[in-house]
Amino acid sequence: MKRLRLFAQLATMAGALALPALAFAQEGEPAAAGEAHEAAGEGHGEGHGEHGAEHAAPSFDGKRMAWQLLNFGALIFLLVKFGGPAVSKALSARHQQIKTDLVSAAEARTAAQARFEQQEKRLASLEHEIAAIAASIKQEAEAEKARLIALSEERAKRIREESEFIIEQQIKQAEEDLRREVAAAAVALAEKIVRSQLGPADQQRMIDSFVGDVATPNGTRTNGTPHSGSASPAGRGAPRSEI
Amino acid sequence: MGGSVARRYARALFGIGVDAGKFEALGAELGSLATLWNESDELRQALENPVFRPAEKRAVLEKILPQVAPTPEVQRFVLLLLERRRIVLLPAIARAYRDLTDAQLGQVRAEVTSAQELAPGTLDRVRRSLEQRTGKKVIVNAKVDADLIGGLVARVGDLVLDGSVRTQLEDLRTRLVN
Repeated sequence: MKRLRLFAQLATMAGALALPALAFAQEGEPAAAGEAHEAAGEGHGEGHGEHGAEHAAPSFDGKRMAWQLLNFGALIFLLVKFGGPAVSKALSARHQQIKTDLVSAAEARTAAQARFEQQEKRLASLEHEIAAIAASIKQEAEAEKARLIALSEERAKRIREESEFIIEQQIKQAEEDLRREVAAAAVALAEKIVRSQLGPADQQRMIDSFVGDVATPNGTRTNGTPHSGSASPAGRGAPRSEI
Repeated sequence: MGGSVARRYARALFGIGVDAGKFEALGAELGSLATLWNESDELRQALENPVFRPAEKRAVLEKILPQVAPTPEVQRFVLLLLERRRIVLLPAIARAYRDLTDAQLGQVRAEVTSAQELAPGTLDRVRRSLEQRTGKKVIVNAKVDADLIGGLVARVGDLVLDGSVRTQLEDLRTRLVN
């Protein structure tokens, strides 16, 4: 159906375009006859040459002009009738497109303007931010410095205390070792003296003392507590009991 | 573990001895056997070595027992120990039996160690003093240890009576150190 209508439109346009051609063809025939008459006239006499030149001057043909106007009008009609809506539609679309583009461009411009203003503001506050950051970094550095100093002092204090404790322990250990060595030397010397001086009479005295102390429970010591007897070799017969 | 088993065997034999009224004689024979066991490597080897068959071990004991332990109760007891593979407990059983005998007789054993050998009279005085201290009859086993330097040490069960110079020197050293 659409094809059929398009075909009809084309046929109409072709017809309209053919009308001027037909008119032009009908016009051509008298013109050709005129030209043949002019050629015969030349052969008739050259004396009439100036007269022939007066006949060749331009002349206005109203019929022909009417057909040309009709042809032009038909063309205008066809153009307006069939091309007008399409052109109008295209122009309208283009108009809308341009309108949309203009709106978009305006929006983009507004956004760019806003961003620009924002950047301007940020740039203006950048120095302030830099100063704030620098101050913050300085403050943190000061805090870290204080923390490290406190930590170092604490560590130094601990090391000092530990060192003092170790030194104290070593001194105690040395004192104890010295006491032990002195005691061992004293006991060794005492043993040597006792062994050299202890005679049968001393042995008998010690046994007698042992026998006497064993017979009386109060005369012995219990649970390893020291006996109150004499420390002299002759008096070492004091027994003790350990349970 | 071994001590507990030894005490059970000793109590069994001791009961038989008490019933028969000859627990002291049984104890003496058991003590002789324990002494023989401790002193004779050959006997120990013969009775402990698994190479020898039980019958051979029994034959060895049957030959020895009449000479060392003529009492039938002790002979049967020792053969029972061999049969039950408890013969290695013989010394421990003898000690446990001796303790039971001592308890039955109300006596205790004392080990008296001196720096020099004690004269019999002195040892008797020591024994009597220990009897006075413990309130029981004391059987003294004397030993000599020169390291004591002087004096003596008496052990009665868990009680230790120390009158040696060595210990007093140690006490002196401890006091000096502290």
